[in-house]
Amino acid sequence: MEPFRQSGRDKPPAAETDEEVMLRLKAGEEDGLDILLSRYRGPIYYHLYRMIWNPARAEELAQDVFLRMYRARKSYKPSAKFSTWLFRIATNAGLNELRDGRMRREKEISSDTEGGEVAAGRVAARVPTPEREVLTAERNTRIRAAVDALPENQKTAVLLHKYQGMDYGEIGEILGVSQSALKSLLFRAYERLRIELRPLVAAGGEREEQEAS
Amino acid sequence: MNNEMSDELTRHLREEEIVPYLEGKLPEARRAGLDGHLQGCGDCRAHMDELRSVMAEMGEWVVSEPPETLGAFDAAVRTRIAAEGDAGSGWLAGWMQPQPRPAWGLALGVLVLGAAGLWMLPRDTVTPDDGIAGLVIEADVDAVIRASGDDGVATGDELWMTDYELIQEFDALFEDGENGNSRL
Repeated sequence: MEPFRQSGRDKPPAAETDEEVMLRLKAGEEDGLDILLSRYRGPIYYHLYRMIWNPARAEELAQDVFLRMYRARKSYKPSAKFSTWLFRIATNAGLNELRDGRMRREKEISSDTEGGEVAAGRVAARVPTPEREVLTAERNTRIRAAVDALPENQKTAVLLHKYQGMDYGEIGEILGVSQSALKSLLFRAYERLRIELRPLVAAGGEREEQEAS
Repeated sequence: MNNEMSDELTRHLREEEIVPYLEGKLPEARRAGLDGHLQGCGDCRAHMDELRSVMAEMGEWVVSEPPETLGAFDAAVRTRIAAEGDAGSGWLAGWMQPQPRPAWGLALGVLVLGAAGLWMLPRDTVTPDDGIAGLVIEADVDAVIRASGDDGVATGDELWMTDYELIQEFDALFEDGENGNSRL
């Protein structure tokens, strides 16, 4: 029997592109869902979490994203990059959540005690000391507050740009703006962050100088 | 440095080129142009250095590894899919899915309001009441007076009147009549 080449069936799952996996899912091969979940549950969840800052709600919305992806499988056409399409669904879900005002993000931006944010802020190859952990937590908190204060589109653009490694075209497609507009949006966002985080950046520079000496 | 610096920067450089330049993604010809300007403009150079530092600082901020709950994430998605059944994506499935449809909401709202409006239209209602106050009747004063046998007084039609008010009106009319002050 001739292999089902269109769907990439003769490839091992790890070698399949997202589009190929999605086409297999469209054809009824349910393991495609498992593959896409394993690839994207983390990125989608964290993208939503950074938008709304509510881990439980972010998880619910992330589930919604995959539910919508699954529902749309029968009409799926790989005309755009799969990740762009999926992140567009996720971004819209996050923006709707913000606009509906249903999010209950923490208003008290204090030292973050969630999970590994303290540990996650560590710079690689440095030995974490208690003092460094406190400073890192404080920095994370301030960055988070500054990003959170950005206008919706700027915030989303920065999150996609900085933490999803997407190129300008992809981000523009997700946000529904031209590449040129997206680049301007990013500049304005980083400009605001420059002003908000100036003390942080200055303190970071001083710390590095002290450690180097 | 303040917001004026931002204006200064964007006066010298095109806004949409700044981030690509900082990321090394600007085409060579344009990059050379910006390099040339920055070599001669200390303010813009300092501004760009700050932007570069902020972008680097942002890179230090990393959210932690997926929390424990994501371990059950896939199962939760599967459960929800199973609960929906084979939702697919056809037009019928779209109708069957509980998605917000503003047009339908608006139509339903109009129907509800219209029904409420119809319900509130004046109609004959006589509600039993232990006391005089609060009893609402639709009253044509002349008709009431004629029915009571006491004619000769016309105070105009009153569509809505509590019977307490009606009694007060009668008292006033009676007093006027006693005093010879007919309202005719």
